[in-house]
Amino acid sequence: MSVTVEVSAPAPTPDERELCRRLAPAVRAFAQRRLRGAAAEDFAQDVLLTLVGALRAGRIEDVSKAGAFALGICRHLAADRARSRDRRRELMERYGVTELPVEGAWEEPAVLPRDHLEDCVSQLGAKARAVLRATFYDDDGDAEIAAGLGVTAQNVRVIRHRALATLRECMDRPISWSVR
Amino acid sequence: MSDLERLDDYLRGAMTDGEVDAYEEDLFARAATGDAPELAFRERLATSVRLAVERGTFEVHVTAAEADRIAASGLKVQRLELANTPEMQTCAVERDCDLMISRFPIDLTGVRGLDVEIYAGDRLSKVMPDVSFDANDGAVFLCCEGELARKAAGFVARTKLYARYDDGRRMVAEINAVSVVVG
Repeated sequence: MSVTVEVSAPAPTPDERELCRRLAPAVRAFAQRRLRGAAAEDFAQDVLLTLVGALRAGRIEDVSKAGAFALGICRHLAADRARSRDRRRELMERYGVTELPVEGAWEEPAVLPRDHLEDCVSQLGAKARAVLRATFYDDDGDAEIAAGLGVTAQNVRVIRHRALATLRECMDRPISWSVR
Repeated sequence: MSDLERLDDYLRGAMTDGEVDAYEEDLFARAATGDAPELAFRERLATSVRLAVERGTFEVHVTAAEADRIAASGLKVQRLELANTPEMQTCAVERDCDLMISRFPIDLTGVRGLDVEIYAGDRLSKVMPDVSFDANDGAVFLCCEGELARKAAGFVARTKLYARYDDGRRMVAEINAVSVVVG
């Protein structure tokens, strides 16, 4: 398919970048809840492109409503999403966007400090570590995790909730060894 | 329920359709104003856990087989032998190592579980429950980020290992060590 992109379209403005930077994690969460891997990334990119297009078209007059507008885009695209990567090129053509408007907004998010995370994870129990690994690395569902650990799916949910809370609290404190 | 728990329920499909609609409206409204910190934390954690597993440092305590696999992974891995004695030991941490794997020999026959406590002087600094081990190894292996080992330089650590047996839990080793950065 041949695609024509208007090369004179302006680069993303700082306001566009900032709004997309803020909304990108929510859009990714929306996508990840429904899709996997590359399909989720494609979906998130399409939503952000459409959002920038709407901003440029003046369809978001009240920026305080941008979150609701972005959610509307998500829901609309989810109801009628194209599974082809061509969608992105079509959107770029439609809105005259020559480059991804929020470079970095859908890149892999920043990571937590490795040494600090190691310090915190090491203080979790074996089941909590197993649940985190299965959730984030193996991408297993709760029923699958539960079967592996010999607990219920509800137990897995509770274990993960506690582990997430413990890790966030721990990451807000200095590394254990540095507290003397 | 905390913001992080609600996000987890949302992502893991533990909400009803009605709850999802209301949650998404709240989430996107907060995200647009930069008031949804749980999103960034969750994303960073997920990415960091994946990287740590691939790097071999998600489980701080590993088996001998896992230690060998990590050592062969291409990272600069420093291996260290600790003696099973309460006498003070000095650990030389290389300035440029990516990871440090310490081996501590100990009889693990009949051990059902191992907990590790680290003390700074008399103060309990950290508890590592249910650490991984293979009783057949006859040793415990600690795989530590080089950055973390270097940050601990000068820290005099007293480490106590508690083993859980069928008939109870008891301390099976105490290690006193201080690390210095070399190279």
